[in-house]
Amino acid sequence: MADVFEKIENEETVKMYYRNCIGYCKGILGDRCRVYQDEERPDIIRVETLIDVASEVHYTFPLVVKQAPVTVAALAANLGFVGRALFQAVLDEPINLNDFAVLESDERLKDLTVDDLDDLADIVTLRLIKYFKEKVNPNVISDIDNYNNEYASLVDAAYQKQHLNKSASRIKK
Amino acid sequence: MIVKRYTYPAVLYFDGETYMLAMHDLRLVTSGTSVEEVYEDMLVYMEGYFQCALAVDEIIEKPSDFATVAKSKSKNVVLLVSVKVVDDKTVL
Repeated sequence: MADVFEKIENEETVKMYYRNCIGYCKGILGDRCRVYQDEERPDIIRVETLIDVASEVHYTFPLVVKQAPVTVAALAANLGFVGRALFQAVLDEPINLNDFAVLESDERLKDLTVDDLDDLADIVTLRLIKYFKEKVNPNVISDIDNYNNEYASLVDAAYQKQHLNKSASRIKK
Repeated sequence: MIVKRYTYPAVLYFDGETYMLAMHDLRLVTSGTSVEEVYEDMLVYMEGYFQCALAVDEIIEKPSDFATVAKSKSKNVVLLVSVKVVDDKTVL
């Protein structure tokens, strides 16, 4: 089962994926998206999306920010989770919850690699941008990097909290 | 408004250093350095998953039978994880 536990050891790489997740939300949903830190658990970043403007239905999905090393499977599932949630938030027609699932079976889980994270991130981003350009706003902002930088500090803060929690835990032991 | 309870089996993996909890029915996975950590994180993701699914009237995948999962994963520990979610749409 070694592959299941393939880890991303580099902290900057792990943080980049969190930033990307948030970047997709803000870059594509714009004003229909709000990002904030959970008050009770500061290691969680919550992304609130406005699903239905008319009835003001909001949906909030969580990103549990983990320190490196993080298993590829967990990060991939996280990205897939965000992708599914975003699509549910912006599409008029019902979609299959599992369109963005990366864990089709145990076999898929075993085969996951870091490359899958990049592929999944690209698919989520490109499909969302395409949808918004066609149906919502042809001038949708697609420069995700700007948002990555804007929300880097939020990820850093959540990350810092994880460090503090782990240090406190070690002291208790 | 009613409170709904969802219970799903989850498979615990451990490589001697990292724990990973995979809920295959919902395609949710968490990883961490303790069972408590991956369990708590799984609760967060499950809550988010069901809130979203209820909000958009998504068809929610039914849980696999625990005994079947436990049998197929006999080398792993299999847990049942439950969350309660408020369903604002359903009115009694």
